[in-house]
Amino acid sequence: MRKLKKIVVVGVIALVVGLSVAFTSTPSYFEITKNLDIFTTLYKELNTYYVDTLNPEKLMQSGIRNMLESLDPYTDFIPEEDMDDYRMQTTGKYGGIGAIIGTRGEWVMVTEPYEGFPADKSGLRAGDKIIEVDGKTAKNYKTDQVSAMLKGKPGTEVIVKLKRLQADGSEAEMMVKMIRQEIKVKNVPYFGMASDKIGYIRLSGFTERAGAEVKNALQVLEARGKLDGVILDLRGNPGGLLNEAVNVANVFVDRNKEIVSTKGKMDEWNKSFPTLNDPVDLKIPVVVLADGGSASAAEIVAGALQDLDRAVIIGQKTFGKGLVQSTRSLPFNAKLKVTTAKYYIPSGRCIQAINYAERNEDGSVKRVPDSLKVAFKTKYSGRTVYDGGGIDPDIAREPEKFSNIAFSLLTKNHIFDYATEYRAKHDKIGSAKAFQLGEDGYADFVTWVSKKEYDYSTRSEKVFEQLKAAAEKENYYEAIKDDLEKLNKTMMHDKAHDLEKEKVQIKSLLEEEIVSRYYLNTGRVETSFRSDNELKAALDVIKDETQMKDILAKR
Amino acid sequence: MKKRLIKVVAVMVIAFGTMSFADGYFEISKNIDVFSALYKEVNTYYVDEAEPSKLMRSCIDGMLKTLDPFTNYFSGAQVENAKIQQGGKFGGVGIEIEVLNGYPVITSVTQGQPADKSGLQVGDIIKTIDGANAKDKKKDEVEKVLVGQPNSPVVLSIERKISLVDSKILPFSIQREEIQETSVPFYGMITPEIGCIKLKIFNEGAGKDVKQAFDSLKRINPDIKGLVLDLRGNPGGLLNEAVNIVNVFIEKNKLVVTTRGKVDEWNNTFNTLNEPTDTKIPVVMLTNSGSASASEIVSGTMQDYDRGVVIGQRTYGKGLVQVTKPLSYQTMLKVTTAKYYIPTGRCIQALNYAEKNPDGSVKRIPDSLKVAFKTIKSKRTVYDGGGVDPDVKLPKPEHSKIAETLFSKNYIFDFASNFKLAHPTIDDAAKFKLSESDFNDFVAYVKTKDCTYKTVSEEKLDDLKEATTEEKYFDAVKEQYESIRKKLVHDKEQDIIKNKTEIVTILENEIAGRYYYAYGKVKKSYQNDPEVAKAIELINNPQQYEDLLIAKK
Repeated sequence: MRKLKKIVVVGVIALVVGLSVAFTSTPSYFEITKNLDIFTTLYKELNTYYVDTLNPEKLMQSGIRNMLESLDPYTDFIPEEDMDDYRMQTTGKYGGIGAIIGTRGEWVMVTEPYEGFPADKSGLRAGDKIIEVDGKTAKNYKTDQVSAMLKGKPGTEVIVKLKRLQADGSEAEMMVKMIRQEIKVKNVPYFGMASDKIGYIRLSGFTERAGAEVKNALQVLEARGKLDGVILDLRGNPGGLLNEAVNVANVFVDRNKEIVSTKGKMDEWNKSFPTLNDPVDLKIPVVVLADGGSASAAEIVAGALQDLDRAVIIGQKTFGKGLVQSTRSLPFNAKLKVTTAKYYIPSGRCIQAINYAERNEDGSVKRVPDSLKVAFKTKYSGRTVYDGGGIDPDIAREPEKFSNIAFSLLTKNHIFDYATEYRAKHDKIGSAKAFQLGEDGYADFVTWVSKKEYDYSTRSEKVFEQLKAAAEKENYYEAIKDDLEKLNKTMMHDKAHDLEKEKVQIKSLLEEEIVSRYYLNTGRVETSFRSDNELKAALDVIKDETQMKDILAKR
Repeated sequence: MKKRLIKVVAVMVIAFGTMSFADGYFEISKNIDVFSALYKEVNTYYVDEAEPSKLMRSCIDGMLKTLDPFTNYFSGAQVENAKIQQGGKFGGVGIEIEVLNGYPVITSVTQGQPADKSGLQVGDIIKTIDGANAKDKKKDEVEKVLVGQPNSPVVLSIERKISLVDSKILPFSIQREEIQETSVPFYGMITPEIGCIKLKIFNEGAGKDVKQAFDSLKRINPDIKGLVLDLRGNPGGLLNEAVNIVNVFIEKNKLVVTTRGKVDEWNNTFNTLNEPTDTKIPVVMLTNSGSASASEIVSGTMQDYDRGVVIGQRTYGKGLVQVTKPLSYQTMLKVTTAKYYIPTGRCIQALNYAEKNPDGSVKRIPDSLKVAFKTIKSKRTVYDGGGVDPDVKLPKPEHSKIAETLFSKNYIFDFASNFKLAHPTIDDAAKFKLSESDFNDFVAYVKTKDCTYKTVSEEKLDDLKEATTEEKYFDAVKEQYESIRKKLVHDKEQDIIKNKTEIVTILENEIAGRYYYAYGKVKKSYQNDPEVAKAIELINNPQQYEDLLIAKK
């Protein structure tokens, strides 16, 4: 509701400004009217005369999409029918049962119930096949169709028929009755201790209340005992509401500090966003984990904490999105999300990496080149930081990559299916932090997966096939045949060999998935701690007080 | 403006009935409402200065992209240009150019047109145009300044080679003339008894041009035994000119093509209107995948009436008809309004733009959905959904990598220029042969030039090195890699000699063009053209020709 009000207020301001634009700069007003006139005649002619019957709405939308794509990827048109999804994205709220689902063959499956929501409370498990919803079959339905059947007004009843895998390999049918609830996807899906005295808070989005959730997490952790430090994990966080970024930073930064300011085409739209509340802890050492998936609001938090010399950033360079969007209302309940400003963090830098206004000759976008990046100084220590390309971590770590075989096992769902079978065969496991698959456990998986269909080809193998085809066509094949065969044998991957070579990675993927079947997301996060090298680096820095101080010290 | 809209509305009411019309109209105005609001908001609020025309262009392009590639929007400036091109009439000098080494070079001079009359030659380098330096100008920029009002002058300064080492600068003042692109760049007898007409495009008057060409061939040899109609690479043009060309060989009042759109009232039928020239003479049409639209109406209709034999490769498969509609502010819409159907009732459109693959790519009509039709006279089976299938299929001619390289690096072109310097005249185009010593000269000439090229195999081997290096296999396979590398190395001199026949043919065609214009080039090229040879063979074997036009049991 608060959000809605704000849109209206912005709308009024904008309208006033808009009118003055219209009247002061006549040429552009004429240009707009002229182009609209051309468009209107073209659109009508097209719908009337085109050889096939056209869908006017689809036609219009493809034009709008193409037009907005020419600006930047964030300026977007939201037709009325997509408004529910859009609202869910900005508020994190919807009415439903609280489970992630996904298509697997002819059925849609539960892939992860949210902790504490109806699906979880009614005992739904990852791997359950959804057979019917309220008596209607869900066979061959797509994920979004089943999702629409499950969603509804909070308080209403939904009956789901499931099929669940049993220990003996058979499937049992069950009917589950649930009362839909307002599902609020948490911004902080997990917080806890990463070591004895170091807290950990994962922030995965910036919908309403993100600031309050981080605040609460830190307060709860501090209430349990004295902390030596806290890790704020922003990896993969795509951002969201700008004012929530301010609220998150506010947890660690004093009241009345500017976190971010926005600047647009006109001075009237420039705005400063200072912290408004009392902080939770100004002194506790903070490490922020960031990666290439940390964008927008996540970069405001990471960047502001860096510019204010309040936290050490570990991981990889962030995405580099320094553009702000406003939502504007259109006729027939449609909306326009339009980039209206750039934002600047406390040192004065804008971290936008791609300059959409200037394109290469082929229309592709330009990254801001290093030579044009400008140096800025952090607020207190005067450390040098740069604009034009995301937040650079203070301690850079190579991103962890999936091996070809691990990627194939994940995407072909063998990791997922093995966990489903494991859950069917084992009623309980030890604590999440203690669970280990062990050598025997891994050997069992290797036997199990050897009967499964999965393949992956390396890029070398693909290019090899192309070389072979070209040589055949150009009549070189006979001459190089023996060499090619030898070469192929050397390169050929061997599944058994790769399962052994990539054991550490595959094992931790299996452990995370299996633990999530017993302890949901909490278990998944806690299990992932063990193989998380960036987290380890964060713990090391916090434990090493001098290093922490050194990094943030005055230059 | 308003008036036209009302008229359209009136037609629609009749067409759809009031109810559906009202729905459709509401949908359209609703979408226009949403769009207008969005467009104004974006122009006003977007963070950077937005350009209204550019934005609109991308919107229109985005919409048209979902339809078919022939539905296009033209801005005011584009309409101006198109006006010049469409009529085929504009003031020009009659040359074609390419930019080589920074300067525009004349690559073709049209016989009898101003440049030719003033003495410009292929190979001349244009240094200045009306006093302005032509260095580093793009091809279309140069073309733009060469055209203008008929009778206006254009002054060129030309660099021309006068010997293998020397060149001189020559001034030319040329009076532009109205240039009509010729639809028939060549007609003539390719054997004493067989005539040939090459049709390049279906512009206004193309039908008349073909008829006249045929008439003069008949005058040259009244006992002419057959005609080859070369439609290869002809992209089409005006539909009624296709009807006129068919009419040369088919009697009056025969159906050639029907167009059908969304609304029955707009359907149209096109019949032959005139007395034919010859309804009996054997006709062989040459087609390839570049023969589109009107070319397919001609070849398809002749096939449907069993009036001629089609040889070569399957045609393009464009069965859609466009109409241009003026919009406000001198802009224009070219819109696909109908499909056309040739006499058997088949539509040869190959791509179904209305239904796309999930990845957005266009669907070819699958063989299983193609419908069989029977030709009018012989009841031969022909199919819709994918161009005109030739009665005699011949493999697509392909060039060797070395020939492509020699051509694209302009060594063929430059050698022909040098040849002309050394030989002021040559024999008749058809009789001209490159001597053994000339060929050796060419080999020697190329020897001094950079002629490196990579075979596809070599390119792929490079890719493999990159991929294996990245995936850390390279050290393990290095030995085989080196061995393959050595075996793939080729020798340019060997390659030229290996492909001698092909290269000699290309050289002869290019050289013939220097003395006898486009006409000479085409005439010479027909001598070493397997498709033309096949056509001649068919006409010389009436039984074989007739057999092709009879239904197979």
